Amino acid sequence: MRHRTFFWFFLPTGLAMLLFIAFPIVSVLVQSVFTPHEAVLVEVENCGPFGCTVETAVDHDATAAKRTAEPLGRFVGLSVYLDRGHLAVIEIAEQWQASSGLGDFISRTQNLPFYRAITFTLTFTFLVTPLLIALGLVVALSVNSLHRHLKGLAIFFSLLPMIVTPLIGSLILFWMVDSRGILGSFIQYMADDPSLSLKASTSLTWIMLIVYGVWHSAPFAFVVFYAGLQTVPSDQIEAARIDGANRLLVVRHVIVPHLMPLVTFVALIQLMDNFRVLEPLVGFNAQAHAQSISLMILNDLSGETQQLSSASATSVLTILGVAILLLPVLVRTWQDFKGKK
Amino acid sequence: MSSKALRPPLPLRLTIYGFVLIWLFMAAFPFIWTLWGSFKVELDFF
Repeated sequence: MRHRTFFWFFLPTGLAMLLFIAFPIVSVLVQSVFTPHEAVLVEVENCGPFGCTVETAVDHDATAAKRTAEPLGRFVGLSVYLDRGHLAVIEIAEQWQASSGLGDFISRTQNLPFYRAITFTLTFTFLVTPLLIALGLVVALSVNSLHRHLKGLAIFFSLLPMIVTPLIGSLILFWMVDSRGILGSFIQYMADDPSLSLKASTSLTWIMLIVYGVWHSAPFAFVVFYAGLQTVPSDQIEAARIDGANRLLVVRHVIVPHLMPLVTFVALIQLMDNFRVLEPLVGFNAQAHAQSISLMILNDLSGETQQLSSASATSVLTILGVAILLLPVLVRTWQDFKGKK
Repeated sequence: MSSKALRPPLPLRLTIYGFVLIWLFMAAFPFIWTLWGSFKVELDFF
C-alpha cells in the first residue's frame, strides 16, 4: 500500500485517537503537576470594648480572583507523585530505617494508601488473569466436545457472567454471600459456624473478589478460545493420534500451541482490565478490606472537595503500571513478529 | 462429522458433560436466584 493511501486510510482513526486518547492523557499529565492555589490570607484587626485583636481570615474575593486568573493552579512539579498519598518516598525511607526486616517493612507499607491499593491490585491481577485463562480454556475444550445440538445453549449460558454489567454481577454475588443469602448460609452450614461472615474478614473478602473476577472474566477467555478451536487443523490432530498421542498430549502439543496467539491476546486484555479493578470493590462494599488504584481515583473525585491533582497523579501512575505490566508480552510479540519476517 | 474412532471414551464424555453442567450452574445460577428473588418483597428476599 502506498504511504499516501495509508495516510488517508488511517487519518480518521488517527484523529479519533489523538482527540480521545492522546489529548486526555496530556491533560491528566498537566493536571498532575499543578495544585489549586492556596487561599489568600489577610490579617484583620477587630476592636471591641475589651481591646483590639488581630485575626487571620481568608480573603475570599482575592482567592477567587487568583483562582480565576490562573485556573490551572500553581506548578508543583513531582511533589504530588512523591507525597504521602502516592509514592510516599519520605515515608518509605523512614519505614525502611525503622523496620526490623523485609516482612516488617512490607507490613508497614500497608499503612500508606497507594501501597495498600497496589498490593491488592497486583494480587488481584496476577491471580485472576492466569486462573481465568485456564478456566476459559478448559470450558472451551469441554463445550467443543459436546453434542452439536447442545453447544448453542451451553455457549449462551456460559456468556452470562460476562454480559451482565460488572457492578450488577458483583451485587448479585454480594447478596448471595450475605449471611442470609444462599451461599453465605451454605458456607456457615459447611463450616458449622453460624457467626461466620465472608464480609467480616479481609482475607475472605479478597478470596471472594478473586472468585468474582474469575467468574466474570472467564467467559471472555472461553469465547475467544472456543472460536480458536474451530480453526485447529484436524489433519494435525489425526496425525498426532496416529503417532500414538493420547488426548492430553494432543491438547498439550497441538491445540495449546495453535491457540498461543489467542492466549497472548486474552492475557493482554485481562491484565489491563484487572489492573483497573473497581466495580467489584463497590458492588461488594469491600472498601474497608481492599483498596485498588481505580478506587483511589474515585475517592479523590467523589469527596466534598475534588482532589484533581491527586486523581491525575494516580491516573498517570495507573497508565505507567499498565505499560510495565504489558511490556514483557509486547516485547515477546514484537520478537515473534520480527522472527517471522 | 467426527469419526467414532476420534470420539472420547464414555468415562471421559461423562466427565466432560458433568464439568459443563457444573460450570453452567455456576455461570447461570446467580441470575436465576436473583430473578426468583425479584418476585419477592424486600423483607422476604433472603
